[in-house]
Amino acid sequence: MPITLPKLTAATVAVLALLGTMELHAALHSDEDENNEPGGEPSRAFSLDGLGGNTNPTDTVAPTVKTTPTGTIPATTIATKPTPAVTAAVVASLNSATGFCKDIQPREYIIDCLAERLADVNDQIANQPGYEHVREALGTASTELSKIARRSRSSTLPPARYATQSNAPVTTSRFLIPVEEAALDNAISQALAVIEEAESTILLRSSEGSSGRAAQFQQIADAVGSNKVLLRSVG
Amino acid sequence: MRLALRIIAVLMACLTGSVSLAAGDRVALVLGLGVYETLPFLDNPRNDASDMAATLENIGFDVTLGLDSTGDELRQLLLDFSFRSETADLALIYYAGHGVEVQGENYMIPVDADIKSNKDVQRQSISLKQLLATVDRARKMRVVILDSCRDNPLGDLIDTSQPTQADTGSSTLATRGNGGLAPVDPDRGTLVAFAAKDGQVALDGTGRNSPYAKALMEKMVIPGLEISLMFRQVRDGVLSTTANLQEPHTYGSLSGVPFYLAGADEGQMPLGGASTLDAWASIRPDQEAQLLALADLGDTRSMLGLAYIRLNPNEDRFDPGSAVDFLNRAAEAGSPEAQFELAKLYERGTGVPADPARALELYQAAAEQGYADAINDLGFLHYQGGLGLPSNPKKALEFFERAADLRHPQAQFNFAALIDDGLIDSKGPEDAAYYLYSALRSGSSDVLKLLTERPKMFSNETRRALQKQLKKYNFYSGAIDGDFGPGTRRSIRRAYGIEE
Repeated sequence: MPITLPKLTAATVAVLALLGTMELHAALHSDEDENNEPGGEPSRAFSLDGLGGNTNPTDTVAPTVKTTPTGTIPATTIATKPTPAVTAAVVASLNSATGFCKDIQPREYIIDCLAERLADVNDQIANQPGYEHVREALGTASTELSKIARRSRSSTLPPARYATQSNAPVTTSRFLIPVEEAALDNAISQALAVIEEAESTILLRSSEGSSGRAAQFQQIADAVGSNKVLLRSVG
Repeated sequence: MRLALRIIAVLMACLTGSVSLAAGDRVALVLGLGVYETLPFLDNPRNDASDMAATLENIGFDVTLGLDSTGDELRQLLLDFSFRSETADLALIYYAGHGVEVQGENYMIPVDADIKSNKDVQRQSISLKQLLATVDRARKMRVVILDSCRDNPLGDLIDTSQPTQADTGSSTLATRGNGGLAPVDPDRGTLVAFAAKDGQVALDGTGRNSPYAKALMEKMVIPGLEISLMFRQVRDGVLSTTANLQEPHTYGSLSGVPFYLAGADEGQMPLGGASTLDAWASIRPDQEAQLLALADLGDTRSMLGLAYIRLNPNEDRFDPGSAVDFLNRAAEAGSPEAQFELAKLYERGTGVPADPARALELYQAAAEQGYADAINDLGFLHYQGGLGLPSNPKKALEFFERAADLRHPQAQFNFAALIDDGLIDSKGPEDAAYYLYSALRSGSSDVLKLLTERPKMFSNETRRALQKQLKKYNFYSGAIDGDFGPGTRRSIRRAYGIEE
């Protein structure tokens, strides 16, 4: 029996991408209930290549984080609008970005880690028509997260580059800026607000850019003329 | 869409971490009353209740047992059980003891009742309505089983006004009565099971247990036996062991979500957390055959189950066209759930060409029958404009309020959102918070997610009012400041039913 995939509209695409970004919430929230030791040595889960002189660029210890392929998005796709394959790759990339950052130690690096990884996903969809609103929202979020990290920059921890240990290691494209331990809670609150803003933007744009019928099919949709969302029945 | 659902599942797992449900997913209140002060003793209710409690515990229920309870004790048991039911998937009450029907209402009589008039019955007894209200907030399924007299044990003491005495012939078997309780019309998603059809006797039995309790205990422990099929098998069993003297009967309708009282069978997918489509697809082949037979007899829930199986794209049996046929049959037979499901297919163009007008017609038909899913979606469509409807927030509010008052979680959230937006003059932050709290207790994971991740879409006043509400029910003890930090978020998860 053939299986008919639902037609993927711009709205669906955006919602899928949105759901990917929402994992970032989880990454940031997960920080709160843990008893980390801020200010300690960066985790041995990653190899660390620091600028401050107290890190060991050749330090290579098996990572505890699970990394997944980054779902690299084919650059040669000719489609003029979102396609299921590209959307799936975007979502995979967002999940991968979150997975990369959520277990990072010390936690002081997490905000700039998310900023760097979101920028990386954004680079991957740079030439994908139909993803402009996702790209714009991710770009803004990345920049804002980076600013938050810089504003509360740690005076004790060094900027550091992280990499996973695997046959095809994933390495941050730049040094990550750690946040001051005392400012971490506040910085995380700001970061959550940035993520929320990105979500709202993506949803709003998806509503504008899709057909009415598709927009109605979102399980959760922005209420017209309100900052609220409305829920359809799960039934 | 499955991808999206998977991501939601991962998200929820991330959010909740290593947590467990605070309440059991299946809770039961088992009552056995036999040692009456002024009415004839009954031999078996205590045995039935004790054995039933043990049986239910063995299959994983969180059980409260009440034996020979007085009126005050019964009322307290019901109050406590009502609160625990709110976060359970299934709440079940089993009652064995004297019961009587007075003026169309059914009453369960406590052991200390001293009854001389109709008013005494109404004042001293527990009504079936009270039992239904007690289980009413369980999330997926509500079951009340009455293994009671179905007669008038009070003889000529009172005038029941509705003579329902059945001719019991020359039977000399011990019975729990010889008359009948009144037929009931419980809310959708609730099943009331009587040991005997109205007008028939319910036998107390000559052994340790009543025939009905015995059959129930035999069948309810079978893993992977879908609940509606279980009650069907109990009926067949009792008819057989009583030589057709007693025919158990059920009123009301279970929701279209399948449920195994004893959990899944070996090698079968557990239903907890499974989608309706996956859950129905996990039904064993022999039970699918039973569903087909029942569908042929006009059972709309079986038609729905068969449709859900055929709507599951992971199944070899995937056949949307055939699903539409089953749903059409059930919808024409008046099933609002089938009308709603069919409406979704017409809206999406699944298995049928998309037809907005037909979809709207079906949503309206389901809503007219009080089907909350349809009422909420009509609210959504009126608010946003869709299926040919212009945007009409005022009309939408009427739908959201109606569905919210039917305790539909998404509608409660939607109504709260629009109250918070100031769209309803007569309602304010306290009302919005009440609906948000109710939505949480109803078990909407969307609402849990939105309140923990995006609380700032609500005004500070509403957030403070929600903190007060959480405090009122002992979920929260922090400051009333509208700031949803870790403490408030934890209390929100607790109110939802997650204990960390």
